[in-house]
Amino acid sequence: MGPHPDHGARQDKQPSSLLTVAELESVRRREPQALGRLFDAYFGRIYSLAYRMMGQEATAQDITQEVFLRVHKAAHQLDVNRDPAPWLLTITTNLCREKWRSKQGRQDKQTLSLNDKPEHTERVAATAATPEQEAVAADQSRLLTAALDRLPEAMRVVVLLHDMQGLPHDEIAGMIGEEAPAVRKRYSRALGKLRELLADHRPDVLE
Amino acid sequence: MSERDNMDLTPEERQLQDAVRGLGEVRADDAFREKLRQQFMSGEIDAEGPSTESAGEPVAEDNIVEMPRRRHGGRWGALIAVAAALAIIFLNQGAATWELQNVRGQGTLAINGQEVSATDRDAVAALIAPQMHLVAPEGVELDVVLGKVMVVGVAGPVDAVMPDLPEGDPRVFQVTVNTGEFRIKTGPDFPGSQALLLTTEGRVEITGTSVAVFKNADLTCVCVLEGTALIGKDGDNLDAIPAGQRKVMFADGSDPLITTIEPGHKHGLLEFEAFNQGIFK
Repeated sequence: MGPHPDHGARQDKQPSSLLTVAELESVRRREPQALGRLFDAYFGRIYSLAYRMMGQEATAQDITQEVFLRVHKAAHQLDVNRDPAPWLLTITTNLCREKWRSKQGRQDKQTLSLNDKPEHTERVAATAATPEQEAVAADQSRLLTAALDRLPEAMRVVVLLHDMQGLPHDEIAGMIGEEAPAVRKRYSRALGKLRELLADHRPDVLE
Repeated sequence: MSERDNMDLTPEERQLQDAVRGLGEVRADDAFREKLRQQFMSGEIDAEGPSTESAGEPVAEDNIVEMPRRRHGGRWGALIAVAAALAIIFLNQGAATWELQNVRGQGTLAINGQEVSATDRDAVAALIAPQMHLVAPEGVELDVVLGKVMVVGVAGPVDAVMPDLPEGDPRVFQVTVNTGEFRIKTGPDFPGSQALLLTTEGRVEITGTSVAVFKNADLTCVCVLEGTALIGKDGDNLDAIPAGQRKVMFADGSDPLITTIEPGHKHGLLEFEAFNQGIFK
């Protein structure tokens, strides 16, 4: 299993590499074409983060919609000289954390057992060459997803932002209002917890 | 990604890390994606128009977190001088500077050691500066505003070092309060930012809201007038406190209290709101 496509590549890009400064200026003016470019560039990351954080399609959709609503409302304050990704991911993360801590969020929460079959097939971009490889990959994905879902929320945040969104610990610390060493320590504890959760399935996941 | 980020991982942890990184991007339902894209491009998503108010949305009544009433925490008559630290760490992309919005009451303020009458508004305004040390007596209230980002009000007696205007990404604003009462309202340039208040009893995370924070020797009380504030002992144990509620955290380690907003505090917040009505327009 290779690294996430975004992982490690970000630092080689200039800030705002997904959209040009001129495009971001147009986003500030809420020009439809530029808004479409912004949407296309970041929708996948926002939705994936919301889905992985919340573990439910409907909730991920609600949060993604709210993120783009807030972005539209605040488009005029976009800093065109910076990559908008941290801003967008901060909004997403804050909304997820608020949802987790709301009474409704706790009621909606349905933690999967690692032995559960998913309620619906997760739509993951297919990379497998054969149906058999695809099935193995899907099983690995299911196990990991269930294990991530069982992580305490504070741990899940740092794992998802670091490993799936490719953000360094310093940046995550800024996003969630923690000190970088605390985030780094929590990330290490999260990997340890994942290892425990996957103890009976490790060969399936790490092969 | 810095090298430090990957230090001290065992081979197995590194394998796990790679496995997590290998999880593919989750693909959304095509119909949902396309509909949202059209709404976002056309502006239909924002039926109310661009924001002129805080992005913090009121929380539905059924989201209210209730805990048993255990003890009354409303004795706020005298705020005792203590050396508790309260920090606001504020992350934001915009650029602005702190300015005086209002000063009310009578008495002598000390700003960076320079004494000035609260009734001399121009003189007070001239002394407002990032990271100023402010000492105000009882009966004096002062509001400072940072562009359309947020307005911070203090009510004497207060002894505090007000926020700086730091550089960097993210920008980190810090307030140190030795004694006093703070009121905070976020503005339309706040979305995507976070304010974090730390006291000896706990922490408050704000993602768009209107709150009052009281700190004395015995406790920290956070009253939420609008939106939601995440409040708790540490980052792992936060409660979402919605509008109309407050959370009291006690210095002696007693269980925190979550209950309805204290009428006196609500009144103070409403006054603060009234004094700053339209400030972000």
